[in-house]
Amino acid sequence: MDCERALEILTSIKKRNDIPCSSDEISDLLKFSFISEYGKESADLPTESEINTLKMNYDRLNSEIHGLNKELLSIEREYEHASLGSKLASYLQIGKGKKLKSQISKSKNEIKKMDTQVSIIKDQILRLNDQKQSINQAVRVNGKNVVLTPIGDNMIDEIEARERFLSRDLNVLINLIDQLDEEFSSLINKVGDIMKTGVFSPIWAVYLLNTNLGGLEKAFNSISKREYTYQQAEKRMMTLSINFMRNPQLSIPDSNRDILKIEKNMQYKYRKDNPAHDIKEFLHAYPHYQRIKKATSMIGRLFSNWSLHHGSEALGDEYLKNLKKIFKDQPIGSLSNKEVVYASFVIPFIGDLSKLTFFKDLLRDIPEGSKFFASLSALFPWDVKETWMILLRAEMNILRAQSAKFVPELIEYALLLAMNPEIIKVENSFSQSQYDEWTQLIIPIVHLLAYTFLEKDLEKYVRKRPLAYIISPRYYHHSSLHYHVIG
Amino acid sequence: MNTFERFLHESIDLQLYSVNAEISAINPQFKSYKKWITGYIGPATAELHDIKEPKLNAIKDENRNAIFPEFSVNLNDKTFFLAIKGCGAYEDMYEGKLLSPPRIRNACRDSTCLHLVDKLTTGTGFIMGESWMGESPYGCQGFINAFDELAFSKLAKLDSINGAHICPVIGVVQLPPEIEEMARKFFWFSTYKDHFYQEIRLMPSNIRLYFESSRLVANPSSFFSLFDLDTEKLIEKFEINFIKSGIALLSLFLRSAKKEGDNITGIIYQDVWLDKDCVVAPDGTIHFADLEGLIWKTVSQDKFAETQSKEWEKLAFEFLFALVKIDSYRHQLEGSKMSWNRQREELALLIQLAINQDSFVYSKNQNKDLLIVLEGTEVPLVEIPLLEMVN
Repeated sequence: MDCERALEILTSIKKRNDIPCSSDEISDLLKFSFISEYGKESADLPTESEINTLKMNYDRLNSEIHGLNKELLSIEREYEHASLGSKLASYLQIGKGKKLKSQISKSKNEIKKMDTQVSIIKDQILRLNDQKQSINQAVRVNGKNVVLTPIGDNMIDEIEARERFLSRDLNVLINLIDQLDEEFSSLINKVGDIMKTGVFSPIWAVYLLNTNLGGLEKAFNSISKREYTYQQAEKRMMTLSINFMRNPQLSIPDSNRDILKIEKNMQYKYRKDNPAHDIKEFLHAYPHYQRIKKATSMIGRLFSNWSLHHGSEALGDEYLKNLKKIFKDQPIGSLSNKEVVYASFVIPFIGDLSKLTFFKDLLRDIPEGSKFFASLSALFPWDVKETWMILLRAEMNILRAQSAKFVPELIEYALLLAMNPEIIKVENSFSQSQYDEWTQLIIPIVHLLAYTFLEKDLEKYVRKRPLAYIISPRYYHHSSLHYHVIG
Repeated sequence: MNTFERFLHESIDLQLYSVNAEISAINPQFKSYKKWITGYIGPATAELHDIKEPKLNAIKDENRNAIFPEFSVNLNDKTFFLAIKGCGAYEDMYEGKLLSPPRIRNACRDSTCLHLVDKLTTGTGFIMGESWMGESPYGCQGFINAFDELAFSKLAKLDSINGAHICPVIGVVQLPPEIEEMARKFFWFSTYKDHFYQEIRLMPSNIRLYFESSRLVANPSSFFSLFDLDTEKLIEKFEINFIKSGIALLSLFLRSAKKEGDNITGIIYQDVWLDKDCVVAPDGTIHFADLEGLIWKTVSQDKFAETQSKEWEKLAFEFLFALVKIDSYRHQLEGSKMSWNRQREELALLIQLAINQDSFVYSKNQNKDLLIVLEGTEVPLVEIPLLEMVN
């Protein structure tokens, strides 16, 4: 069955319209748990009064247990206050003590029995409620009563968002979604593994994975521990990664001395085809120039790398041309807003600017970083609706792993994970040059902007609004003072 | 040794040093554990005083506390671990980073001690004179807090104040004078003036609701395996205990209420919260840990219901938030993606089941709402709607 047909059947069931279809189609949808079959006829539908009677029994039994427990407590108290003689006599099976002990044991048994009964009734109520709900929603498909499951409901959205899959087999799409889940979950685990020993912010773990520079984590740790300010450590970590992109043959440094040696050897390698000077010159007249200056040097080095590896500086020239145009047209707002300024460094990579408008509207309610996030979302090589489904899938996996902390951060993490080349490969096959551009320019520039600007803003944001927490405060688990800081 | 005990042993990240300290008070219910009631100081404080023995394995808890996983006691079929409050701070008060020897040096106000500070190899577990919110010396415990916590613990029957569970303090010790005297020389702004104390207490776990632990109830997948909760039925049992103990804590004012003429006195929460101030035992029972934030409040009889309701509302969200997390995780393990309506219905049934053996509360279905009725001795009934329009 192709995706278009699956969509037609699932949508009919959702709208509760009967639809003729083949047994194979029904079997397929049942196999994937998109629908479930209901054999019962409406005559067997549990009545409201049946459920109500059970509920009344449930109330009654709970209240009887409550009463019995009170009696038990009072007998226990009486026994506790009984004379020592009476207590000793109870062991000889005589006297008041014996009577109280036997009452205690009888009440306990009674409560235990009633407790079992009450659990059984609870399960009965829940089962009947489920049956009632399912039968009410069932649709007749090919002579069978079926009901749309939550997974089937999600599948409608997945197919609708991917027009390019409509004529393809449903299995292909299902496999793709499974692969995406596996990749996201594996990435989240890998980030967790890196952060077990990582003393840097988790955004760097995602960066290492996205740029396939996993071997540098020890070096990053060494830098983070050594530098007095984290800002300086971040600068050195970024420089080291760019050095490795330029020369992948470099030996992975074990010590700070080795790192310094690489820094020294590589510092003058970026003079050729480096557009940093031109970018700086052009930016000089704009606000927030000073903040961007340092990031600009790194961007220049990345383009110099590109030119070295691809024998052309055309991309750097084009980037600068586009950047000037973005600064002139200001498609996401005034440059007096610093977020607009740093988001503008991503926009030159977006081929279709209508995507930017779509995500700007979609993400505008995100309290912090919405324009930057919109720019990142528009970078992906898929249709906007498909991109959004993939980002939602990333978010779902993050939530499942309980690894996001704040509302704005959830989308940030989802976006960065979705940028991983493995995810891009699952959804779309990249040409080698697209792949190189994605890993050697887009990912590092996005990362550079995220840690230089966005992360700082997010930090301020959550400090002001403790309720921005969504789930796991793992971010702060190492700090006991945070509560007083932010709450 | 079960999985959780093994986990605690594997989590040992600290060594504390036992020092002879004068016992200031002891909880009579725990007299038999007197041998445990002594001073325990962190590595930095020990180094400063050149104390090298005896060492005990411990796990850091919050900023100035530790749990000793190798010392445990069984209370009502539940394992409690020996714990210390005030063994020295782990974090810098002003930098939000780990306390380090250079920062301790910065806090040293007596230059004759600098040669000792310069020998420090760690800043972990340092006791200093800086006043923490006027309540205690930084890293240690203050007089009022320590004795308040002990008083509330003495009120409880072992770990329970009429069904509301706590981590009981078994004794209070005064820090040895030479350690206190030296600690007073270290501060950034101003000092705590009274003597320095430590509390010895019992804790069933180090799992908190949302903050200050690497494993949290808000993140069920991070600790369920530790408690060997791998089937739906076991998690349901855990959830029922969680509800039962949560409702007990929400009704603490009523549970502790004493009638005196026309007035009623009970315990209320002051600036303490379920999110970071309690721990959850492996069976799901929530235990309030930071008893220093409990205070007695006296109200007239006609204000009793209003006060209890306010106390309930103060902490209800945190309790319900964690409950929904646990409940959702149970359903996730079952593989069911249920609607919120269905989940509410099931929660209503579980709540009824959870409190049916509580002598201070019962449930009542009224119209379509599930009400929790709080009833104490000689105090007015309090009705609180917990789940409206659920039936």
